[in-house]
Amino acid sequence: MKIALIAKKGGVGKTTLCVLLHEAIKQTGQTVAVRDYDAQGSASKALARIEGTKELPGSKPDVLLIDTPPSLTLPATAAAVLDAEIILIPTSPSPLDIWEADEAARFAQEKNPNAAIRIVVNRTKTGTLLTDAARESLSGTASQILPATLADRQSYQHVLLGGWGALDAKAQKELFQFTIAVTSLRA
Amino acid sequence: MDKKSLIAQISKNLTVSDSEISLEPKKSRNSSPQKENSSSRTGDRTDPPKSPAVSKVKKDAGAGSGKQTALWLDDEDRSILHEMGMLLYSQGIKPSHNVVIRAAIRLMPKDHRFFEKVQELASQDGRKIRHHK
Repeated sequence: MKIALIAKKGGVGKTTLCVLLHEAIKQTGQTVAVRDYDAQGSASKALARIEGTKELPGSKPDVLLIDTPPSLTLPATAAAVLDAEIILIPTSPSPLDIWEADEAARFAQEKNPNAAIRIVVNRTKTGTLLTDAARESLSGTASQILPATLADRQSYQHVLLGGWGALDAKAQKELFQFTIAVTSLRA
Repeated sequence: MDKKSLIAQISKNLTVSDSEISLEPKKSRNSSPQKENSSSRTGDRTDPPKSPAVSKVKKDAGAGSGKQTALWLDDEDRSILHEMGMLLYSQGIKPSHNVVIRAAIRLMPKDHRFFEKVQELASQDGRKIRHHK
């Protein structure tokens, strides 16, 4: 299973989501690796720190996560979209990010219509007006939204430094439920 | 749901997904399922490997399978190949362009560096420049 994480904007949580999925899938005993297309190499840096797995030539992990640069015009993003079966487009609940996410979803749909494409609402704060507005705003677009969301938690940032062990029980459960929602897209 | 159930659900999703991936070529290529595919189409080497499953079938065919490929190389490429060949020779390994290129494509990084280099080389491609003139 190949999962690409794309976004037109930076700072929406692509790399964090990539590392979180890597850690969650690793817990299940399945093999997982990350292909880092982002020139910033943030995913590679985090993986090196938490002893994660980068894709090796010839390796065939059960799940390959593809992190991409924050752009829709770079060939790396197009290559990731063409190669993936699942395309996740993270966005924060901010309207500006949502508009860009919708554009990224249309880009992915055009490049790879066979893939399961979902917008992921990241860093949500339950009950806030912005999160409710984000859902409403996204429901008016043609793009599909992943029903599972990830809350705005400090521990998700700590994963980049300490791996799975940095997550508290609530975060672990939320992340597992999120991972089920992602992996079931092709199940 | 406890942690174990969540982990089991993810594993189940991934396992189901894997079997679907191997069946995908069946749908897109209007041919028989993969198992039948490997037995009934043995020796058929006319179709290009368009899917992971087809690539796998070809790989299983053995180390002897393959095709001749012609490459266009500029003077710098040829000089690098020669240099790598000399390096192999210095290690007591019989040098050839074939082994150098095959090792290189397995070792190359699959990241932004690859795309940047491709763009750079494409812009310097002598054939293209001549063609545009």
